[in-house]
Amino acid sequence: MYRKVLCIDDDPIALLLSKLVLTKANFASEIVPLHNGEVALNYLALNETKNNYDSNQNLIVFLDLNMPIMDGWEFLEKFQSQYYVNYPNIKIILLTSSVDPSDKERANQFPTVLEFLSKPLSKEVLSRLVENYNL
Amino acid sequence: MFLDVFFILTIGLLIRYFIIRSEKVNKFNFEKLKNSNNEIREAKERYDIVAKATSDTIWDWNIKNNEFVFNKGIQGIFGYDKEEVGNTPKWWFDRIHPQDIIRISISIYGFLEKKSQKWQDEYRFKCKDGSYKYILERGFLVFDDNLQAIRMISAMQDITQQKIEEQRLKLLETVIVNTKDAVIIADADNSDLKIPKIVFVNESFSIMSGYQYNDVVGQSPVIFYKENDPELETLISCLANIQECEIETLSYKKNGEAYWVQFSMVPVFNAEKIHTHWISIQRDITERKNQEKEKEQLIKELTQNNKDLRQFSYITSHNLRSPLSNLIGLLKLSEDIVIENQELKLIVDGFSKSTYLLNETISDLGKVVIIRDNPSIDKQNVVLFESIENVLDQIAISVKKTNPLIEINIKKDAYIYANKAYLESIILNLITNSIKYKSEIRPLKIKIDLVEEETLTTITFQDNGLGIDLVKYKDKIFGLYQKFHNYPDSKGLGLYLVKSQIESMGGKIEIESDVDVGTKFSIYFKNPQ
Repeated sequence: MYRKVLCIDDDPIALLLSKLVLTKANFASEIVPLHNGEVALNYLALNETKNNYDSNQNLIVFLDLNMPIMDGWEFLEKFQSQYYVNYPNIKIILLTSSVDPSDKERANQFPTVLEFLSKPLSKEVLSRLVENYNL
Repeated sequence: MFLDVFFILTIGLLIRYFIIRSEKVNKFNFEKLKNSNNEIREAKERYDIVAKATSDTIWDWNIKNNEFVFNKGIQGIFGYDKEEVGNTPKWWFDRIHPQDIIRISISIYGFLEKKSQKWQDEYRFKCKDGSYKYILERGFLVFDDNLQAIRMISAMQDITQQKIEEQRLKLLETVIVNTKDAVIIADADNSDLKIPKIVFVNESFSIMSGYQYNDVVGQSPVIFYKENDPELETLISCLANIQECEIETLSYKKNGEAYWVQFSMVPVFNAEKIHTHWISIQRDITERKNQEKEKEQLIKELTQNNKDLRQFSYITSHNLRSPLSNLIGLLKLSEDIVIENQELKLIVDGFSKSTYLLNETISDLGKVVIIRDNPSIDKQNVVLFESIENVLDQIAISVKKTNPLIEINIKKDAYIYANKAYLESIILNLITNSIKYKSEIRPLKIKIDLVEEETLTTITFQDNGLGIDLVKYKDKIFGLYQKFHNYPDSKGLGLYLVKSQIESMGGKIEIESDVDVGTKFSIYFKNPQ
């Protein structure tokens, strides 16, 4: 299956790392690095208007929380209220350095969020995700 | 003949005159005697009636022959038997209280000397049972024609009850006058005023409020308060309903200065149960109020500080973890790449070790913050053996390197009521500690036991490692950033974390250790009810 992965993170090293791990694990068919929530929403909006979203493709988002301009929470709220209908198969995974338990609780309130992961991404984690969610 | 007749007639007339005159005198004397007798009899009767009717003890002292007679009161009031009552003034005198006797002697002899008619004094008189009664004595003297005192009659009135009451009132008055609390007494009559008029204030009230007695007596207590004070409304409602009332309110001194007062007020009723007065006791509580305010402010500030600090620690932790997770991710990737250059390989290895240690430290710190932030934690029945196996799996590599002898004396199904994540973190910390601080000369042995009692479950971890000098470090063992060995991978956090986790689950940890013999940790958990 075609797996399109959006990596949303303001930290270029983190983006590079995710890209390297994803490539090495042969996880993604396509990797799109995006620098914050707003850029990500624009990307989704653009893709939506171009109508090139294929329901057969698996769209997976690795989302950081702490970002400038638009953070992960705002992205989740806007996405859920504006775009969710158009992307029923989207899978959002939070990938963060936060250890604040209240963040974890807050994440549970978003049905679009599959998991709350601690950085860094590793091939072990990726294979577990594939197994658990049939990605 | 005529002369004879005239003489006889004249004599006859004279005789008749004298007879008539004498009759008159006799009659007058007789009447006088008769009246006098009546008076004496009446006086005697009156005396007898009074002596019988009065509750007083009456004595009659015949000064001429020194005879002294008591009425029955001496028996009824003082309890003496008829036979033992003496008949001299000495007997009476001997029974006057030693502290009163000199005063009374002077007083009574002065009275006798002055020859005034009435005498009155107070003294204590001894009863048969040895106790004393308070007496008000009122006597008078009887004189003969030569103005010699011949008799003294006196009545002893028992005023013990009055005296006791008087002393009690004096005591109460002393309390009111001397108490540090301000006392206000107000009239119950509040028909024309919302609040009754003050009839008394004590000195403490003057000191507290600056108002003197004359400033406030006759005034209404409203002068001490500001209108629209909701507490004042409570007070007025209690006044209207004749109820007790206790309020804390702002009051104003004579100079206008505000002060906090604790104010209690009770209605007072007389013997006929008619409401007569209000008594109010007041205390200046300004200092306490200020302290309360300061405390509130302090708590507010501390809570805010705490919140800020917590936020700060999460942010710091997050900001540290972000680049650190990058480092770890990159190092992991580098593990798959063969490095030809030996020097570079050494550098990357060192880089890797330091990064992992830093990661552990930050992760432990994060855990500490979370524990401290969440005092109550979910608990469940955790199968202890499984948890130990989980931990051993996690640290398989370092266990393999050391190859310790691990003896687990725990039934496979034994469980413990705890938080699984915390319990595993505790086991992990204690086993890795044993591995880190093993003896160089003895092969490492770790023994884990479980003792189940009715209310308590104890897990013990015992090793034969380096041990810790408890005499030296006793108070620091479970402290933050305490290191007892000069080991490069020691963070000084492990035992602090262990203790925090155990305590957050309501448990307790103890340590026994001997240098170069080994260390034993005992962890106690209360069993769920």
